[in-house]
Amino acid sequence: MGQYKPTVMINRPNVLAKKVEKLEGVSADALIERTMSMVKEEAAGFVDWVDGDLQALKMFARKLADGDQPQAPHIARIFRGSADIRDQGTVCGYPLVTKVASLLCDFVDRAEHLDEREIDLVEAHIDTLLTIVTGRIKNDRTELARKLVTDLEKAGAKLRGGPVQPKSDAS
Amino acid sequence: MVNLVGSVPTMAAYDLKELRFLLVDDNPHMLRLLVTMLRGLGIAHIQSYDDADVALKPEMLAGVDIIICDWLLEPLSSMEFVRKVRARKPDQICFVPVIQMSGFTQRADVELSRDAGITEFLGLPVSPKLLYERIVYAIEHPRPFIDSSDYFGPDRRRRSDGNYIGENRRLLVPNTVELSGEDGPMPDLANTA
Repeated sequence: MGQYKPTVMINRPNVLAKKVEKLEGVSADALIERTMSMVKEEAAGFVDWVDGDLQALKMFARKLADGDQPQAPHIARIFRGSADIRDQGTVCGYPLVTKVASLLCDFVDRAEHLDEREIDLVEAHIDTLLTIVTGRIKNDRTELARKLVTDLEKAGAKLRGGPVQPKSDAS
Repeated sequence: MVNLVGSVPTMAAYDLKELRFLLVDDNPHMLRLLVTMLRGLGIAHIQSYDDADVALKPEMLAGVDIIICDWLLEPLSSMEFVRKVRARKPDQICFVPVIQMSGFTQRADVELSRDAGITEFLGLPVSPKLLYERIVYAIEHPRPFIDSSDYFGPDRRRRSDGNYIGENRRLLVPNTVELSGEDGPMPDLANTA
């Protein structure tokens, strides 16, 4: 049994506040606006780098399809890769990428084994993401984009045996 | 999830150039995007690492004012990373605010982070506005630390119910220590009782 230790609350001086001051004549809104412009410039390369990341995911999915064992490391790479892509999509102006990557991430989250139909669906997610990126489809404002998402949601729910959980709008 | 931060009203921006940030994310693209955001917000001192183990080296942590880390880290998990930072007692780095970013925003995920000792949780996707708000919140609302047998980190209770009329147990924490110094090691609290 661990040794009893009394709980202590520690109050410290506000060290950070002493290191910052308000910028004269620069509003927080202006600072954020300027930062958004800089991020937009950085994000110009998104399509290229995410294409490379998706090709890597495709390779792991192919290994699963080829029966490469054990599956867990490949599933883990797909999970982490799709989570990364999900986190970057909206930042880089591609909320639809975030939405589909999120579906893939959720689908493989906690999966220890995927059967043939599930692997097919993983590949379908990755192919959809590649189509979105290649076609520079940023959001789901078109009928086609909405259908792509809905079909993936339905297929995922069917295989997992649950109802379709609509995700937030990618607009 | 309750928005604890709210929005930044139109007001003068903070000059953050004196603050030192340590950024940990094992994805190089995200790391680059975050560095760009921090630079845009006027932060000059940014150390960025894609390896959580490297980021934990004493020479990397020295002088750092705020840590921003992703949920998914390698080779350590972000929970282990945060716990190791908090375990640096008596070094002052154990008190550093940690802003954890995550696309996993279910209540259980947030509670896991909270119990590891994070200061602020930032749900992904991140934006310059959200990032700035979290940084400002960490500056303007420092939280006391709790040192107990099973937890060391920022006080996890932050809601205050104005209608509550019962005993104020928050004021009944047996010992409260006021630290006046900003530098040097944390004092030995073992005999504070």
